[in-house]
Amino acid sequence: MDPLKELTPIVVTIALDILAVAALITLVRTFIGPRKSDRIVGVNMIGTQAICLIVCLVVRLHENWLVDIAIIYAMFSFLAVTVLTKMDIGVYQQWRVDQKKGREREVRSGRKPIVEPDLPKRRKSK
Amino acid sequence: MILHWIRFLLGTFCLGFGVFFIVSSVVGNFKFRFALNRMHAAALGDTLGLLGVVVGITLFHGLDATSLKLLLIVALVWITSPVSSHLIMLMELSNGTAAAEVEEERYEDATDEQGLERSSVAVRRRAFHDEHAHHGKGGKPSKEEPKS
Repeated sequence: MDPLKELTPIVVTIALDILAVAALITLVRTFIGPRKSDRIVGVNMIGTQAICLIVCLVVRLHENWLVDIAIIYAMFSFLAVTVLTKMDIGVYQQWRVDQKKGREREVRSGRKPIVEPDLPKRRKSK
Repeated sequence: MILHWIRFLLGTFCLGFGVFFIVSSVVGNFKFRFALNRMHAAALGDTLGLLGVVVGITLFHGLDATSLKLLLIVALVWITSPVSSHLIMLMELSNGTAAAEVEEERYEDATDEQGLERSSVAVRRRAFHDEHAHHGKGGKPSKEEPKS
């Protein structure tokens, strides 16, 4: 009995099942993530697990060209995370620039400038 | 035949290793509270999980041009995963109130206000403070607050 021919599909199928369940649970976490960065972390994890799934299918289906799809998937996953985060960082930087401009306009128009509150004191509770 | 058995057992061990790390990254994603902590668990699956799965599949498949491509996937993910983690961290730090809470505890004894002023930490702490001063539960507004 050749273990590489007869036992390998069983082992790889078990690994595929576990990985699929893990990806589904990560999808649930991505849905209920309260903040945007939690969701992006979940999307990143789902990308890695999808790469692992495709790599397991290479041996399960005996299709060698699936490796190229895995490489392209890795590139696209990185691109998606980069674009999503860069958009948010750009919005925040624009907000800061707008705030600075508004403060300068306030000073130039002769009104009382916005006094920034001091740094918060040490919190006792929590 | 003996060599095939050794390859099969080693490949099964490596595959189980990788799947274990991926499952533990999913568990850690549920255990941690903040996104900055969750990134730690996500990086676990990105590095050791993917390495274990790819090495196991390479042992099953045998040395080939395809196995070189499999190792290329590992190199690609190991280069791009820290970059994406860094970007997520920048995003969380640039607009996060949860991160502001963490930073508040870390910098609560900081005396160098000049240095804090220059960083974005001061801006976020001010925003966090303003939000809680307006919506505070019955607390008095702080005396430093400007009267409009």
